[in-house]
Amino acid sequence: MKKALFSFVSLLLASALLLTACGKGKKARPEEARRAAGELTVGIAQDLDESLDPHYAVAAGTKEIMFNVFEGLMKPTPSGDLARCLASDVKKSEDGLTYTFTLRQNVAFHNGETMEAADVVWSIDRCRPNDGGEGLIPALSNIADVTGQGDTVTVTLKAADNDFLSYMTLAVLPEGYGEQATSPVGTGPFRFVSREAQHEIVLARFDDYWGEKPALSKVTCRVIENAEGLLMGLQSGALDLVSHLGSTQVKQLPEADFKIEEGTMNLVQALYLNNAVKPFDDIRVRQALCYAVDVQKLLDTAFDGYGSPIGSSMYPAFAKYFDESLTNRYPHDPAKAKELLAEAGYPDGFSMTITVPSNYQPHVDTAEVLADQLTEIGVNAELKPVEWSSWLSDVYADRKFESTVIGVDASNMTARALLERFVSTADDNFINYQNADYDALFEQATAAADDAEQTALYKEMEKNLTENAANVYLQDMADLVAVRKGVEGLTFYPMYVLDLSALGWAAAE
Amino acid sequence: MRYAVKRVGSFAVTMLLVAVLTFAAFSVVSGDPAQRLLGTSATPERLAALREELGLNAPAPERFLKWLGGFFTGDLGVSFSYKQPVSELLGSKLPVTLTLTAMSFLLIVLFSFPLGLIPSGAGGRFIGGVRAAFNQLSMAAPPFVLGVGISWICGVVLRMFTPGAFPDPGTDPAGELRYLLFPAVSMAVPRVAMTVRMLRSGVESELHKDYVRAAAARGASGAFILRRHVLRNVLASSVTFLGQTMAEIVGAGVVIEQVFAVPGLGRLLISSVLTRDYPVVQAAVVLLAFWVCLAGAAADLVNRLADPRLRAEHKA
Repeated sequence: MKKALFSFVSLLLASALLLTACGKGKKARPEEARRAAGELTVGIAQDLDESLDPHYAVAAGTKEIMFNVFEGLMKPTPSGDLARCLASDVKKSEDGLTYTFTLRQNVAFHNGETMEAADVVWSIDRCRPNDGGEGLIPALSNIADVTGQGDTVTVTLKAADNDFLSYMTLAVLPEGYGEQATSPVGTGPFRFVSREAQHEIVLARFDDYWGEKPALSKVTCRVIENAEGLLMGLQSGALDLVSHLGSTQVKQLPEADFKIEEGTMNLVQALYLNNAVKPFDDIRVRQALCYAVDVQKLLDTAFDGYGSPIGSSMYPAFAKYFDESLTNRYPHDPAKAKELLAEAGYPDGFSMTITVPSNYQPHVDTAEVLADQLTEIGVNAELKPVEWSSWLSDVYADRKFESTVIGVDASNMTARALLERFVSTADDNFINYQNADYDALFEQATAAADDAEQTALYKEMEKNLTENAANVYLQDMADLVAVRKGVEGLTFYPMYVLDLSALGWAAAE
Repeated sequence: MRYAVKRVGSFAVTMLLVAVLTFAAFSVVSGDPAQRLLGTSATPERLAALREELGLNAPAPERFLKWLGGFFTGDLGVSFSYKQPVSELLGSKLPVTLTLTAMSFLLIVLFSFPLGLIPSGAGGRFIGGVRAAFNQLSMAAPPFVLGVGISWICGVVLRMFTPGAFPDPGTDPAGELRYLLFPAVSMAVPRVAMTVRMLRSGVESELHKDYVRAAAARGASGAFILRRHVLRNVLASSVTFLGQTMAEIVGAGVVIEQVFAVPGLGRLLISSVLTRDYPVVQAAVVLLAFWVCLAGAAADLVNRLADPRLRAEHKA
């Protein structure tokens, strides 16, 4: 008997020893070793695109990281403006049809070649829908001609376009280089080092960078798909920075080791309604839903109060275009909502489904709260969680849905992209919004002679969406970033990028 | 000989069925890989071009036959999500998963046999109670919960390893092994408990059989009976059990790899299912099924070597 007990206990001890032995012999903590070497490890929740070629990359997560590897003639700034980047000067002709770019001298690509006008011309031609191009950016069909000579590149447009320069943020790549998808080469402050599928992407400081060189010598982006894993990675010392965390997650991190920085996701989160299906083809029903939803309560319940309410398809970071007054167009008013429903012929409410991408917890949480709020006016909303792949095919491409909670971004970083999609004929008008006034406004806006006029027209379009209750607009979600103490320089942009060149470790005390 | 042929035949049929079913499952679920790759910026033209490039326009049976043909010629296709040959992609993940599975299996055998063969009742009622409670608890805990618990305690609190910092594959084999120990333990714990339980009941029932009493009457010592007679009889059923356990570990590994951020086959499989990366899923599923079938066959073989009766039956 004693012997049995003894062997049992000794086995337990042995296993404990085995485990602790593995912890022995460890040098400094991993985060301290990185600090000493000027390195950083960032946790990302999803792997990058199949192609790292910036002209082909589509996922926001890919652009977020590869922003550090590629540059265009122009570069977006944290304040939402455009700054000259690979172009040292830009001149626009009187009629707004010709743009002349003077190229910066001695800009090196990561493969050692020097950037020339031919590279710029090739890069633009590759993206525009012309004979030889692949039409990767449909908006570039407005370009009539691109020519390069010496240190100048001249672009001629078919029609004047105030947003044109924002498209010139497209990455400049070395002409004819064929390995962009797997071994990308750009001119940015960081160069691509290696990638291991589902494990990591490694970037290193580019020592021949033309501008100010980054403080970090190496950045590893580690792929960890689940939130628990990311939190654990932060606390164990494996990671230094994780973006896009939820409010409940950041609360679990010890304040002594981490700072939580709050930015915005720059998404228009809404209960998007399929305007072509019953009962959402009736404006009164859509408005009723708007009145029934209490956005502030939603933020308090599901987001710990984080997030900024919005009232149309525009988020506050586009300060110039954002119309604050639209936010409270539909105050919480269940009585009014019921009245409108009765007028529309649904005195006892109706049943509907909310399709949600199950991998985006914030959207799922939102849908749950919304379903609860809608019961107040007799609307019985049932949640239908689907995988992201299914969402893209069924909801976004095939438009087979009643309503969905999702965040829509400005695909090419312009305010216009947010609005253009609701034009009746737009390919990506997944809510089937059909409004002649709206279409007319958009046409006027694209043809507008100056910026002020265009801005006014964009605001009219936003108002049109709000007045017609195209969707139940909710919020621009907060982007919570956990940063290890000692890491400085986190900069938010009005779009989905992580600027690694501004980051660095504070000098040790 | 006839047995071997039969065995190999059923093996092949199983594998083919697995391949067909995986393929069929993807034809049923919604989600288009091309749409997934292009996301919300898909234009009809780019979608059409990409579908053509990925070979999605051909009818399903044709695609399957093409895949099958490729499989036999060693061409598993190219991953949609990584633009990398599937064989290359799996090749970098497979060693990690095999190591993890092997480690976990070894731990199970190392711990469960000594524990299981100690006669029950040993250590008194208290220890017995603790053991029973531990058994119940570890069997009931889902692998996910156990994994999170272990990486929390060992990784964050005790700092015995760094969860989320798996070494770059191929650069630090010792580091990889050390890291894999923790997921391996998480996978082993519930199975150790189950195996111990199985062994115990096996020993228990054998001990009450006539031949044991006969041996005892001959004057053989308890330890001798246990070693010489009981063990051999219990072993047959436990080898089959371990074969099944191996299959279970493969399944549990898929979850555990996620929890511990281990870049292995299971994690690749899950993400490939989500991104509708058919070539990878197809190959990974077949590979895992092969592994499971192999474990079953190995168990069978060991049994036949150990037990002459089994061989005799088939000869008749």
